[in-house]
This record gives sequence, C-alpha cells and structure tokens, in this order.
Amino acid sequence: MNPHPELAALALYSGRDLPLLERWSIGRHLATCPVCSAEVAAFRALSAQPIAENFVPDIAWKPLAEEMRANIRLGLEASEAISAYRRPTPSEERWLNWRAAAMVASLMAVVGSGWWFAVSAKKLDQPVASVVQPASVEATDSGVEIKDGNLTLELRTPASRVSFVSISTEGTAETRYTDAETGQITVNHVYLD
Amino acid sequence: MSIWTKPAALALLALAALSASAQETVLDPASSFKINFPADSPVTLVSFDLGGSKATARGGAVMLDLNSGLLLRNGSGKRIRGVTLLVLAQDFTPGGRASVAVPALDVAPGENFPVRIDLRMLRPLVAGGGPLVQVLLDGVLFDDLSFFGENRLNSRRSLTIWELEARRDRKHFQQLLEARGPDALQRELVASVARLQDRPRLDVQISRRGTLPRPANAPATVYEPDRQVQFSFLRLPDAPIELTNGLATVSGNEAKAPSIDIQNRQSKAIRHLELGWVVRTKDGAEFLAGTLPADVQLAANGKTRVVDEAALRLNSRTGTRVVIDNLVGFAHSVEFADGQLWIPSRAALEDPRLARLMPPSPEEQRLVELYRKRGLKALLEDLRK
Repeated sequence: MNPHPELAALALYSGRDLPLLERWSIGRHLATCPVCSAEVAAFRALSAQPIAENFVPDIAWKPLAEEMRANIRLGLEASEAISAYRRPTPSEERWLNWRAAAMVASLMAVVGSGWWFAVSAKKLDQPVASVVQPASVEATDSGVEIKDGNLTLELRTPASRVSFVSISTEGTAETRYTDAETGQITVNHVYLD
Repeated sequence: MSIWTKPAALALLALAALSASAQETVLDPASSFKINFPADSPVTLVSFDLGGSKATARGGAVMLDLNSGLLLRNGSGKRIRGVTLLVLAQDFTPGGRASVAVPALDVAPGENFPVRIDLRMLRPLVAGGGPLVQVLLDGVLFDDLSFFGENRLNSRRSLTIWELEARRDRKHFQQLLEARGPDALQRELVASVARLQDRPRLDVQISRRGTLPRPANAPATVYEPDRQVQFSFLRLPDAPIELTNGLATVSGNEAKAPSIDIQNRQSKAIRHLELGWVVRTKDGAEFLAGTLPADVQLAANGKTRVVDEAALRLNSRTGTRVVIDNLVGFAHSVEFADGQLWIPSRAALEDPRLARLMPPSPEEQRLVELYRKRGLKALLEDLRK
C-alpha cells in the first residue's frame, strides 16, 4: 500500500480543496485504506457541525472600538496641528507652555480612557462583548467563584493554605481549608441555583 | 494660528481630572455588610472586625473586598458541632449565593468561636439603598445531632455527614491509640500528611446548562469531538447501593451529562444519594473531580437512573493539558427515607485506591493540622477529650 498522505492533505481533500491530480491520487489511496478514510470522515463530520455561539473568541469589542475612535480623532487633530503650524510670534510664545500642557492633558485623557475601557473593564471582568456566557461556578486553589453575566461573587481561600476543591453537578463549588490562626476548618461554597 | 486657546486647555485639564475622580469612589464597607441572625438564634454575634475591607464604586460597577472576622457565641445549652452561614449578595442573580461553614467544632455553651469571611464581589452599580452583602444563619448542628436553622442550603445534611465522619475518624484514631500505642498513631498521621501532599490537584468548573464558558486563552482551532464514555465503578462492600451501569459524554478536558443506573440493596427506601465522580486522565492520573447528588424516590431493593445535564471541566494548575480518558463512580453518601445517613466505613476507606482519591474528613484534616502544628502531645490530649 502507498504511504499515508499527510493529515493536512486529508483535511484539504475532505473540503474538496485539493488540485485535481492530488485529489485523484488520494481518492485512490482512500479506496484501500480504512485508516485514512476514517480521518476524512472525521474531518467532514467536524466541518458539518455548526459553529457554537460560544466559539466566538472572548474579545472586548466595545472598548477596542472606543480606543480606535479616540486614536483616529487624535491623529486627525495632530495632522491639523502640523499643517497649520507656523513660527509663533513673541506674544504667542508665552502661551506655548499652555499649549504643551493641553496636549499632554488631552493625551493623558485619551490614554486614561483607553486604559479604563480596556484594562480596568477587563480586570473587573465585565462582559462587554455581546456573547452570552453560561453561568458557571469554579473551585480553584484561590477560592470558589460564581460568574453570571457581569456579576461575580468569590469566597477566597487564604494564600498558602492546603485546600481541597470539589464541585457537585447540582451547581456547587466547594473549597475546604484549615485556618492558620485557629486551626479551625472552613468550608466555602458558591451555588448556582 | 493657535490650535487650542487657554480656556479650552483648562477645560480639557478639568475634564481629565473629573474623569479620573469619577472612576473610583470609596464606599463605607461597614454599611455594605449586614449580619442578620434570627431573634431566637442559638448563636449570637459578639463582635466583627472588617480589617482591610474596602468597597469601591468604579465606572458602572461596585467592588466589595471584604476581609471580615466574626466572633460568635454559643448561647444555647448544648455543645455546637458545626455552623453554616448563608452569604447573600443584594440583587444577585436568582439562586446566586454563597456559604461559609465551620464543621468539626466543639464549642461549649457560653463559649465564643471565630468565623472568617473573605469575600470579593463585583456587580453593576444600581440605585437603591441597603447593604451589598447580608450574612444569615442557615444552620447549627449540636452534639446530640439536633439542628437549628432555616436549612435553605441543606446544611442539616452536610453538617450531619461531617459530624458522622468526625465520630468515625476520632473512634478510629482512639482505637488505634489504645490497641497499638502513640507510635502507631504517629505513623498513621505521617501517612495522612504524605497523602495530603501527594494528592493530585486540579481546578474544577461546572455549569448546570451543559455548556461551559469558553476560556479567554483557548485556541480557536482546538476542537475535540464528543465521545460516549462508560463509567467503571469502585465497589464499597458496606454500601447500601450498587452502581450497575453509567455513561457520560467526554470531550478533551470536559465531561457532561452523566447518567448512572443504581440498585438499592437495602430493605429501606432512599430519598437522597451522592455519588463520587473520579476522572482518569490520558496520562494515568486519577482525581476526585466532584460529586453527583440526586434527590430520588428509590424504593427498598428498587432501581433508578440518575441523570444530570451538568458539564464539568478540569484545568491543570501547572498549565499542562488535561485529557479525560475514563470515568469512575462510587457511592459517597446515602440518606434513607427515615432520615438515617450512610457514609463509607473507615475499613472501606483503607482501600489504597480510595484512600488516595478521597480527601480526609474535616475532623481528620483538623487533627492532622493539630499534629503538624503542635505535635503528638496536643493530639493525644485532643483525642482523650
């Protein structure tokens, strides 16, 4: 039997994206090779599945758009400033420092707004994208957390404590740790419903 | 020509300053937090300390970072074995709530005991007054296994199971001490410490709707087709139920929609059961991922099927990719229709595989910590109480 074609070639074959000659050659191989036929069938099954809503990557589109608009505005104003530039008269020079300060202030406002929308909003975990994420609970070394839309509730485990984490299918996440000061056991839970 | 006049520049500066100040407003954490125990509560609040807690309004959201220490008093005439506090966030999603439980206690009447609540909450800023977080009493379990409380979180069952486990494990250690002396007890505790440190650890996530949120760093090109995986079962000789058949759908590091057939081996009806759910990965490691609880109406010697829509995801703490290969189930606890509870015996837990998988009971965890921190003498004193 001929050697098996590359996996990439099989993927292209399954999507009818190969040139005629290669397609014919792989077709001949598939007629006698159940392993490669199964790969092709798997690729076809995969491509036939609808792309799930939650496959959209987790990108905060709104802040990105805000930031881009702000950058464009800044660029236009800078271009206008450069085209209108001429050597200032001595009386105008007195205001030069003010103009510089204004430039810096506006730049800071733009950068600050960008930071607030892009970094701060991300840190706050507010879902600014339009994708609706299902509510879930999570148990990690740092604690248990419930996330539902733009609401987050977390019970934290003190750092460096030995903890046991667990979940139950009824929608509960659990973490258990020993309090360093009292030696007491504390069990934290969050519940979906 | 000047592009900006002085007033325009000043206005811009003022705007920038205003914008910066509007981003973060410090709120009073004490008014954001309320402890609300019933008038006839056997547990009363002595004091509470909010330490470095802070509440901040930022943009359209409010963030509460609560580090609270509550000092509670046993105002009843009985010894307290465990307490569960319900933590409710104002206007949180229906059902979204949390709890802080303290099992393995032994608080005499009139004695005080501390409870820590370390909470972080983020939610949209909404109009209206009232505290952001309320702490209510869900339940108290006493040494005679009587219970007080609203039991909204089924605290009665969980506190009673922890107390039964505590009695089982204390009895085991006391018998070991009597029969084979302090050296044997010490060896047993050292083995327990080693098991605690060697337990493989994973982060676990669950969604009730069968779909988990996609992680932000997940490569869009990785897609693992679903496959049906048959459960295998760990048989506990004294278990009142037998797990006969089970299936779940597995894809990569996710398992969902478990379905398990159960046979009641007792001549008593069962109203609630909890199954342990163990995951074996492609590289041969085994983890107790969680439990599958179910309210059932299982007649004496009858059969039933437990089906759930939930989806579970495992994430390695080292960043390596977890791929689920196999699933293992076992009986974790059973509640009979007459209210009696079954938990695995200590003999059943001596099985090396189960000993490796099951976390210690809260009481064993407390005793191990006592031994590590204060030595054998303190442990012996505790066991002789």
